[in-house]
Parts: sequence; C-alpha cells; structure tokens
Amino acid sequence: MNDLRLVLRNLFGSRSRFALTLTGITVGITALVVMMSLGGGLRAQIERQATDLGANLIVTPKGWCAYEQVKVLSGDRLPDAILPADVEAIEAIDGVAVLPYLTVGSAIGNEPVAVTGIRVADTIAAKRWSVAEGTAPSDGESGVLAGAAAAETFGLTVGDEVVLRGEPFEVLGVIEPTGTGDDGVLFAPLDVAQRVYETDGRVSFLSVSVADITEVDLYAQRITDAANVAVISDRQLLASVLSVVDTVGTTLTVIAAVAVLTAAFGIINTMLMATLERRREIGILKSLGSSNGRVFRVFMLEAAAYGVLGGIVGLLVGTAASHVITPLIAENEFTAFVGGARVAAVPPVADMVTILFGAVLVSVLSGVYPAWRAARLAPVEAISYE
Amino acid sequence: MIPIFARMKHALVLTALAAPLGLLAGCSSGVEAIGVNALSADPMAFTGTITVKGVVQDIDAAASRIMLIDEEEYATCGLTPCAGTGIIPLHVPLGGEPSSAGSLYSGSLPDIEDTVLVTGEVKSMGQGLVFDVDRIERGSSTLVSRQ
Repeated sequence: MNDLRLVLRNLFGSRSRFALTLTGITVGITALVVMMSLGGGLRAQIERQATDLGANLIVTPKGWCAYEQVKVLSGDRLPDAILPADVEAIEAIDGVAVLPYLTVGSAIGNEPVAVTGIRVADTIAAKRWSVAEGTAPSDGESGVLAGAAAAETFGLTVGDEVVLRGEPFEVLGVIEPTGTGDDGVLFAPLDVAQRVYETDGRVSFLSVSVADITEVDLYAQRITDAANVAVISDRQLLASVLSVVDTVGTTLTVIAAVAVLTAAFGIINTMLMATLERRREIGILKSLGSSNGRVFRVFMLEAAAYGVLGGIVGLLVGTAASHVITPLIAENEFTAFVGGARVAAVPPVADMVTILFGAVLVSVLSGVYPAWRAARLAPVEAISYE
Repeated sequence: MIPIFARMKHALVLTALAAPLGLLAGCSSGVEAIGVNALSADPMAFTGTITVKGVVQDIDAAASRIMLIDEEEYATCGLTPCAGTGIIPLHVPLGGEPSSAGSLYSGSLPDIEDTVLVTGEVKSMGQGLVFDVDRIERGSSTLVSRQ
C-alpha cells in the first residue's frame, strides 16, 4: 500500500473525528479570512472616502483627536466649531477653494440618518456627483438631496418630505450611487442647515483645494495665520485614520490567530489518539520493513492533509461568510467608530496563498510530536499492544 | 479511491456547515439602541419609546442626575468627549420630588463608566426637551425603573 492510500485510509477511518478535527482548522481559517476581510474592507472604505473628499487640506477646529478625524471621512455628526469669520478669512486667501461642511443628524422612523449642510452647487461640482432623479436644492431652499443608500434605506423618492429639527424638507433629488459614505447622507443647503440646527453660521470642517499642490505646506501656514483653526493635509488625515483602522485590524487578526492555534491543538490531540489506536498497525508496518522515516512521513502527511483541506474549505467558507458575518462583527464600538464599516473586502490572492500555506505549516508543526512518537515505537512493543 | 472521496464529501459538507455556525455563535444580536450623539442631533425626530445606549459620564447622586455620553466616542476619548456633540442628562429621582416629567423611580444608580441601556421617551416640557426615563439597564439587570 503506498503512502497516499495509507494516509487517506487513516484519515477516513474515523469519519466523525476527521470531520471534527477538520472543522476546528476550518473555523480557525474562516475566522482569519473574515477578520482580514473586515480589516481590508475598512481600509478600502477609508481610502475611498479620502479620495472622494477631493481636498488637499482639511481645516478643523483646534484640538481635534483621531475620533473627529475619522468622522470627517465617515460623514457622522461633528461639533460646529469653526466660526463664520474664520471661514471668510480662509476664503480670502489667494489660490484656495473652500468647501464648508456642517455634519449634523436626524432620524426617520426613529432610525438615525446623517445630515450634512453643504454649498450644494459647489459640492456637486467638486465631487462630480450626478443627480439621478429630481434636482438639487438651491441655497436658502428647504429641500434635501438624498444619497442613494439613504433614499433606498428610508424609501425616499423625489417629492417626499423629511423633518429636520421640526422643520419640513422636501426631497428634491437623489444622487447616483458613489460607493462612499456620501450615499447614506441627506444633504441640505448649508445656510438652511445652519439656521435649522441653530449654529450661528458655524461649520464642522472645511475641505480646501489649493491651486499649486507643490505648495501645500505654504497654504497650510497661510490658513493657520489667517484663522484660529488647525490644518491637516489629506495624506496626514488618511495616515492618521488608517493607523486606527490598522490597530483594529491587527487586534482582530490576533483573535483569529488564537482560533487557528486552538485548532492546532485539536490536530495534535487527534494525531496522538491515532498513534495510540494504530500501534498494532505501526508494529506490522515496521515488521514488514517500513522504516521509522516512512511511519513519520505517513503521520506528517496526515497532519498536512488537515491543513490543506481545512485551509481550502476555510478560505471558501470564509470568503462567503465574510459578506454575511462582517456586518455583524462591524457593529461594535471599535469598528463602528470608523463608520461606514459595513463592507467586506476579499483578501488579495497573495494573502489567500499565505493563509493556505500558514494552515499547512501549523498543521505540519502540530503533527511533528505525534509523528515522532509513532515513528519511535518498537515493532515488538507495538504488535503486542491490545 | 472513489469511495474514499464519497465519504469525504459528507465530512466536507459537515465542516462547511459547522464553520459559519461556529462563528455566528460568537456574535450577539442585542437590542437595537440609538447612540447618544445620534439622539442629541435631533431629539424631536425620535418619537415614542426608544432605547438609548451610552456611557455614564457623571453622576450627581444627591440630585439623582446622570450624564450620558456616546459609547463610540467614549471608546476613543474616554469620559471627556472630544467632539462634545452630545451629552444627555437624565433625571431619575429615587424618592423625594418627582422628575419634571412627574416620574419617581426605584432601584440604584449605575456607576461612572458603566455602559447602560436607557429606555424612555423624548418629551417637550416647559423648560425644553427632556428624556423621560422608563428604566435603566446594565447588562441583563435593571438598575432603575419607574415606580
């Protein structure tokens, strides 16, 4: 009997034990894929948001922490702390184009919805939005432009009414899907949002495009000289937010790695049990001339088979499950903090290969001790075992 | 070889079914609660009985007042909200004068930094909007309930 047939016969000799051991490694790999999918999804979402912002500089109130910087990208509610005088001073600087944002919120049917006050025409032009239905509201008009996802979630169509801070607003238009957090927002004219939310002309943050991107630092200096604000470049903002996301991703991956490690102990246990149960078989093999090396190899191949099968099934199940499970996992204070986190990104092929290789490696390492014990059994002792 | 793979099919099906179920077992559904920042953005937009999830930032035991901050913000900024967009005051008198909404309560106040679920209703009173608390829960236990 060749080694491969021997391995397969041994693996399926006890189907339930095989299935349970395989389930252990599969669950571990599935968890790893789901967690990597979540981490990758968060990263991709943040990068999309940053690109979509289309700014070279972000102007924020002084003293903002990572929380607010993340919220700039996610579109969630932020304090209105930039004074109208500061906005005017920044707009007076040559070579800058300013887009102010007032990020507030409301609810439809007791479900929270993000609301952002914008200069509608300027923002549509800067973000290259297409209005799929209806028209965009004009300045001073009590109307909203709904993001595609917001319209779908709340069943909003042109002509519907939403109430913001007790004041009725007509849904005047729906934006084509952008694939960013903007899809989940209701946009109102900035002046109207400032009046309804009683901000006295204040805004949450400004996105600033500069005429000469080689002089970004110079513009940043001019802005801080002109107004009592803080300035961060789009790259700094992205790096800051991604550092938070990467911390979350690493934590999740470590948790998943523990699941893989637990599965490894399952393999050790299964293989040790197999060593004990097959002592007579090992003794007969050795009596027929099989070397210690062959016995060791057969056990190692069994362990590797768990890694290969568990890895492949885990990758398949994990990829499918990430689309179902990732939104559930994303609903916690760590990932929800990033906002817009309900996305799953399938890990790149290189990562998939690494995961599969890792599964085989863990399985092979788990099989070393049981295989070594099997190989060093003396034939006489093994045959006489009952 | 073929019978071996036929048997293998059953094992793989079992594995494929067990893996996602194992992962789902680790997820909790929980109550669909509203965040403090979401509520404070437009309190009037929330009607009827709602449940708010937040973290206890401050307690005035003598006045039976609790300040609630957003859970997400607390996770990043601690007890001093960096965005400061929403702090919800709750008045839950455990005896003495009733709250402005006319309610009295029994039980014990939560501790600072407790994550709590507060069920109640936004009401417009003489001095403005108040959150009329029905009960405050921490985990599976009810700490405060309306008498």
